Amino acid sequence: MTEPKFDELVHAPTRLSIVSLLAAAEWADFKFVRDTVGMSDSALSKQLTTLEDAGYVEIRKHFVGKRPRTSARLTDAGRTAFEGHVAALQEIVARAGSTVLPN
Amino acid sequence: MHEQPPPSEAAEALAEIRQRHEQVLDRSLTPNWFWWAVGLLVVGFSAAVETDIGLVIGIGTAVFVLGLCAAVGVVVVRTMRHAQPRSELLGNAGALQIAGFVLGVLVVTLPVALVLGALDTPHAGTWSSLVCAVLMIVGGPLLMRRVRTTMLDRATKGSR
Repeated sequence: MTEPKFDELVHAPTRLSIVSLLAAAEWADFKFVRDTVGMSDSALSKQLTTLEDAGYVEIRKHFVGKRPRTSARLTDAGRTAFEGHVAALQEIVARAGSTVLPN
Repeated sequence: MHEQPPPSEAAEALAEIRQRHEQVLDRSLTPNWFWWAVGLLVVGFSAAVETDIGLVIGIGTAVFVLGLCAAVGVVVVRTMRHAQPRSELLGNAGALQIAGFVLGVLVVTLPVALVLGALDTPHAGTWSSLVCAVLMIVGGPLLMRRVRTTMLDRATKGSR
């Protein structure tokens, strides 16, 4: 069972969106993350760098044919932090009862 | 130490997480058109074979092989260009659902083909492949819906 651990780095709104996308994927394409979260290239790069510096994300640059492609994925540390954060959120909601659950 | 968010904010964060998981799965599962494409290719191939005309069989085979490769290729490339869902999300339940679907199609289609063949029905192969196609076109999207639910539940088991 995952130990609840609130993670401030993950909880920031844009990073939570990015990490949530990556948590469901093996690898996610940079453009997919950018378009889905609705960020600019530079803003996403900045957030990914922050997550990479924390050891939560691995970034891979490669070529598909002649086109450069950037992908990202959660590292084991990132996944552990995400799961702990989810457990912490769940605990906060559970303590307050079901009245705060969104539709 | 960081102050924890209020329950309403935590609940919103959990909803956000679930929505993002849904976005990954929705972009990655087999689209409905794929089942139509494969169904039509199977029927076309069977019909071509049953003409007993070499040229038609050759063209039918080429269309079937190329069409199948193209359909699978588009689905794979589409997934690679977005995000590949984690394989662990499928789990035993998802694998069983897929295996059950394949088995179901075979269990219905094979007896139909055998019975039609035994009755000397004209174009028995084409008729049975039509049954197979209908099962795929109707059952494929239902299967994907079940698989999506299974994967989403596994992805968000701690987030709701």
